[in-house]
Amino acid sequence: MNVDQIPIVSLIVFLPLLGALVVAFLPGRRTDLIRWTALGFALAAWVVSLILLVGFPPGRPGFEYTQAIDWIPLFGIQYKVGVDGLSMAMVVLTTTLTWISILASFRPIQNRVKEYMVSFLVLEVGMIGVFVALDLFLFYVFWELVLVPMYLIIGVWGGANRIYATIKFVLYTLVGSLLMLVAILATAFTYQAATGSWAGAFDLEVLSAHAATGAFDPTFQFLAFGAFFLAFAIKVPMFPFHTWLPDAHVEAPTAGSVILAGVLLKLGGYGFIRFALPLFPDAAHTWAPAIIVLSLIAIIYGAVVALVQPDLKKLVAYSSVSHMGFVTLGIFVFQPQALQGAILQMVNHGLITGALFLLVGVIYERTHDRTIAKMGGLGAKVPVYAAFFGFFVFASVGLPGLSGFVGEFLTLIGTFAVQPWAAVVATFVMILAAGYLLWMFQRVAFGEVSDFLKGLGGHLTDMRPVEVFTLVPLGALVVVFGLFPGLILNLVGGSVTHTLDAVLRGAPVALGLWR
Amino acid sequence: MHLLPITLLAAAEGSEAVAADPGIYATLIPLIIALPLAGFVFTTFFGRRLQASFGRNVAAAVPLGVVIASWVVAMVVVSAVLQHQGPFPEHGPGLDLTLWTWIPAGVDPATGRELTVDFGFHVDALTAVLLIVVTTIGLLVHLYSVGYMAHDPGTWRFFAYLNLFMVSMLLLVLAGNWLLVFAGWELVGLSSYSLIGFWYQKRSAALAAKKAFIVNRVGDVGFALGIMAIWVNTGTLDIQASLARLIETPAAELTVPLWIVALLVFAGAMGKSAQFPLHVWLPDAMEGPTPVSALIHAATMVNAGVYLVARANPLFAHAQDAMVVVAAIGIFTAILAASIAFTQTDIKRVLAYSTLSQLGYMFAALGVGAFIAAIFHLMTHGFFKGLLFLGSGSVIHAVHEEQDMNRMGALWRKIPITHWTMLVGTIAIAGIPPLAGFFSKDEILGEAFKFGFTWVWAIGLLVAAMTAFYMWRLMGKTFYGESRVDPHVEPKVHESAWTMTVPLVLLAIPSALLGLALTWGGPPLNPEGTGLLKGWLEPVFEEAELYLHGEAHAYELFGIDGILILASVAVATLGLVAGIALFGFFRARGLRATADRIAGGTRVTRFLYRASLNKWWFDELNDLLFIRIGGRVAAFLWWFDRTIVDGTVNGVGALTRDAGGGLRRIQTGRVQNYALGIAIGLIVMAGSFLVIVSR
Repeated sequence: MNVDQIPIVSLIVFLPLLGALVVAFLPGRRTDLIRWTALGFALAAWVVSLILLVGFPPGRPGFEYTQAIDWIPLFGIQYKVGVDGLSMAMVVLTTTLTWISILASFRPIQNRVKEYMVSFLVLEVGMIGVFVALDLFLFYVFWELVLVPMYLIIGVWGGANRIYATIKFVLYTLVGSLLMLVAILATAFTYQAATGSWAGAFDLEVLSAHAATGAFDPTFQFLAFGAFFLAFAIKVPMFPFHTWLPDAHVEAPTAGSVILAGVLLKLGGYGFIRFALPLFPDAAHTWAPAIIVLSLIAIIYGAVVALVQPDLKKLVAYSSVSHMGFVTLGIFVFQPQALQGAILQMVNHGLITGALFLLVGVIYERTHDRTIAKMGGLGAKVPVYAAFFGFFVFASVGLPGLSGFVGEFLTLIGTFAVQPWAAVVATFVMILAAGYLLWMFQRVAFGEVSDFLKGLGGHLTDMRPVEVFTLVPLGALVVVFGLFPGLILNLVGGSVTHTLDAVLRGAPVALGLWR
Repeated sequence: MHLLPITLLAAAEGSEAVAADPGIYATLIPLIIALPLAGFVFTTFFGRRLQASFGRNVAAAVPLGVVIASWVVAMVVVSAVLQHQGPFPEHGPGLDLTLWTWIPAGVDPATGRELTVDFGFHVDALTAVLLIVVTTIGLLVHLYSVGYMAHDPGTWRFFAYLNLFMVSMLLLVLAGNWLLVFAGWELVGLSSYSLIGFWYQKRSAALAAKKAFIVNRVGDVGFALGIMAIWVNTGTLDIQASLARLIETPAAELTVPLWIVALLVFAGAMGKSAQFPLHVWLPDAMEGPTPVSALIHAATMVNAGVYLVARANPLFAHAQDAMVVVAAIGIFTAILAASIAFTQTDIKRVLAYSTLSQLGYMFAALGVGAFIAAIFHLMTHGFFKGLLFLGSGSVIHAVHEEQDMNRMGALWRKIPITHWTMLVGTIAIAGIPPLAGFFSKDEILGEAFKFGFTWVWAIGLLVAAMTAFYMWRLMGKTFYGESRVDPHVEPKVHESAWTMTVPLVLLAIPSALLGLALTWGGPPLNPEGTGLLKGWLEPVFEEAELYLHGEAHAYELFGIDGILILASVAVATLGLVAGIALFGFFRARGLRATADRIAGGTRVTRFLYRASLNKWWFDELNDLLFIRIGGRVAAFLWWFDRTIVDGTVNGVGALTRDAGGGLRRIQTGRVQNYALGIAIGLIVMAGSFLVIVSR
C-alpha cells in the first residue's frame, strides 16, 4: 500500500490517543507495564513521524498529505490536517522530545503513574494536532487541548507551590486563547459575509488565499492580529507576558519542563508563522515594529535577569525568554535568512533547553535542590554529568559547530540586512549569554566540592545509563544540526518562501521605519 | 578613489574562473585538521580508560601521534605552497577546497544577496606561514606536555583539550569564509577556556577561564557584526570574493561604510589578541598549565587577531581611518603592557605582559601598513615567546611549582639547559642582532618611520628599550644573583626531563636563526634582493601595500635604514645594560638597592611603581563597572520583573477574583444558564468586532 493512501498524519496524531486509551485500561498497580506501554506508543508515533519525514518532498511550498473530513458542515468546519516542512520539523521535534520525556519520567514519577502517562500521551495529541491542523477551529481545539494535561502535570506532579503556578499558567494562556477564538470566529464571519458562503470559512488555505487578495480590511486585520498576537505572545512567551514561565518551570516535574520549553513555547512561534502572518499580512507589517522592540527587550532583558537567578531552573527559564526573543525577531523582520534562523532557533532551543532541563532534573533527583549557591565542584564529584552539562551549556552559549549558533546567526544576519540597529542590539546577547551560562557552570561544576554536596555522600551518583540514553540523542542532534543545518533548512525552505510571499504581498509599510 | 590598477582586479577575477585541480591536496589539506580531530574524539571517549589501564604515557600517545602526523602533512602542503608546486602556481590566487555546504540559507530575492556558506578552506602563502607556526609549536608543546603533565591525574583530559585546540586553530587558519573563521575563532575560545580552567577545582583558574571567554566575547560581538556588515555589503561570505567586492564597490553604494566594517573586524582581533582595553584576560589566563600559556597565550591563539587583520588587508588598506586606530591601539598596548611588566614578580605574568606588548607591536605594524613585518614578528615572536614560556615552566617545575621570582635566583648552574635556552630567548626578544627578534622588530620600527608614522616609531623605540630591561630583570631575578629559593626545595632543584628540554633546544634554534633565515637574500644583509618571507607573502599583500605606499623605496643600508637599525640596536643595548646593572649577570650581583631607590625616590616614580604593580587598576575598573554596577542593574531588573511585571499580572488576577466574588450571585448552578451566557458573550464579542470593522 502506498504511503499516500493511508492518512498518515492522522495516524501520528491519534497513535498517542490510542496509547492513552490503552494505558487508561491497564490496571493501575502494574506501573512498569504502564510505563513501557506509554513509551511504546510514544516511540511508535516517533517512528511514524520519521517515516513521514524520510518520504517528505523537501522545499515545496504548500501542504502535503492533506486529509479533510467535514466536521460541522453548517459552518464549513472541517477536520483538516496536513503538513509542510515547518509542521514536519515541529512534529518530529515533538515526537522525539515526548518519548525522551516519558523515558526520563520512569524513575522520578512514582505516584499516579497511570494518570501521568495518560496526561502525557494526551498532551502529545494536542501538540501534534496544533502543528498539523489546517482548519482554524480544529487548531483552536488542539490548542486548548494542550492546556488540560499540562495543567494536571504541573498541578499534580509538581513542586511545593504547584497550584499557584499551574493556575497562573492556565488562566494566563486562556486569556490569550479566548481572544484568539473570538478572532477566529470573526474571521469566519467576515469571510462568510464577503463570499456569502460558509464553505471554507475556517479553512486555513482558503482563508489565506482570500487574505492574499487583500480582501480583509486593515482595521479588521489590526484587531484580529492583535488577538492572535496576544495568544501567541503569551505562549512564546514574549516580554512582558513571560512571568508565568519561570513559575511554571520551577514547579513542573522535569519532563513537564522539557515539554514546556521544548514544544509548548514553539506553539507561539509556529502560530505566528502559520496563521497570523498569512491571514493578516498588512496588520503584521503594522504590528512588526512593536514586536521587534519587544523581541529585543526579551533578548537582552531575559539574559540580564538570568544572570542573577539563584535557582537553576529559573535561570534556564529566563534564558528561554532570551532565546525565544530571537524567534519572534526573526519572524517579524520579514527576511528569508532571518525567518530560516527563527525556525532553526525553535528546533534548537527545543533540543538544547530540553536537555538542560533534563540535566537539572538529574541533579535535582539526587539533591532535592536546585540552588546554584549550594552546588560546587560537580566536575570532580560526577565528571560524566559535568561533561554533559558543559556540552549543553556551550550549545546554549551558541558555540559554532553546535546547532544553536546557526539559528541565532541566521536570525542576526537577516535582521542586519533590514534593521541593522536591531541586529546590533541583539548581538550583544552573545556576551550576556556567555556571562550567565558560564558563571552558572563555574559555580555548579568548578571549584571545591561544596559542603552541601559532601553531605549527600553516596547519594550523589554519576549519570545512570538511562539518563545518558535520554541525553545522547539530543546531543547527537545538536552536533548534526550544527554541522549540517541544511537538513532543516532544506526541509523548511518551502514554508519560508510561502510565508514571506504571503506577508510581503502587501506593501512593506513598516519595514523602513528605523532606517 | 580607485588607485588600484584595474588590471589587477581583472586578473583576480579571471583567475577565479580557472580553478586549479587540487589533486592530492584535496586529501592532504583536510587531513591536517582531521588528524587532531580524530585524536580529540578518540581521547575524549577512551582516554580515561586507557590511562587507567596503561598509564599516562599511553594515554598521551595517540594525541601526540596525531599531532606529529598532522605536522608532517602540513609541512608537505606548506612546501608545495611556498615552492609553487601543484595547484599553487606563482601569483596564483591560492587553492579553494569545499568539503560540503555548511549553511545553505539561499538567496534573499529582494536584494539578491546569497547566504550559502561552505565548509571549505582557502590555502595561500599566508595560510602556509601560519601553518608552520601553529603545527610546529603545537607539536613541540605536545611533546613538552608529556613531561610537564607526567604527574597530573588528568593527563588524558589535558591532551584531549590540546588536540581540540589544534583543530580549532587550524580551522581558523585554513577557513575560506568568514563564518568558518568565526567558528574556528569561537572553538579556539572554548579550548582556551577548557585549558585555562584545566585545574578547575582551583577557584582562581575557574574564574580566569570564565573571564577569558567572556572578555573574548566582547570582541566577538564586533567580529560577528563585521561579518554581517560584510555580507550586507557584498552578498557573500567568501573571504577572497567579499574582499574583492568590498574594494571595487563605489563607497556610495556600500550599505555599511568600509571604516565601520574594518573597525568591527578589528574589535574581534582586539579580543583574541588581547589589545587594550580587552587585554585584561590574558594575564589571568596564566592560571592554566604552562604548556598552555606557551601554545595558546603566546604562540598561536593570540596571533589570531593579527592573522585576521592581515587576512583582511585589502579592507583595511581602503579604510585608512581604521588603520590609524589599529596602529594607535597597538602601540598603546605595547607601552602599557611593557610598563606593567616592569614590576610583576610572577614569572609567567611578566611573560604574559610581554606578550601583550609584542602583540601591540604587531598591530602597530598592521596599522602603519607593514603587513609582512607584522607576520614576520608573529613568526619570530611565536618561537621565542614559546621558548620563554616553556623555559619558565621548566623553572617552575624545578623549584616545585613556585612562580614568584622573589623566591628564585642563582638557578643558572642548576638548570643549565633551561638557563641557556632562555638566555637565547631573552636576547632574541630584546632585539639584539643577529637573533630573530632584532630582524622583525627592526622591520616594524623602520617601516613605521618610513611610512610617516614617526610617533609609532618613537613609542616603539621606547618600548624596545623597556622590553630589553624588563626581560633582563626576569633573567636576573630568576637565574642570577643570590638564591632566594625555599631552603627545603633548594637541594632538590634539578633540570627537567628530556621531553621538556628537547623542545626548549628545538625552539632556541629558530629563536636565534629565524630572523636571518627569513630575510635571507634580502635586506638588511642584501639591500638589493627580496627576503625569503617577503617573497612568499608578497602576492598576498602587494595590492594593499601598493595602494597604501606606492612603489617601494630602495633599501638604503648606508642611509636612512642603517640609521634606524643603529637606533633600535642602541636602545635595546641600553635596556639590557640597565637590566644587567640592576639585576646582575651570572655571578655578578645586581644593584637591587639602587632599583628600589629609583622606584621609591620621588612622588612620580612612586606613583608609577604603584600603577605598574596594580596594572593601572584596569581590573578594579572593570570590577566596578561590570560586577558592581552591572550586578545592581541585573538585580534591579529582576526586582522589576517580580514586582512590576509579575505584580501587574497577579494584580489583574486578584482584581478578577474579587470582582468574581461580587458577581457570585449570578452563579445559579444551571448549565443552561451558563451555556446561554457563553453564547451571548461570544456573539457580543464577535458582533462588536464586526461593528468596529465595518465602521
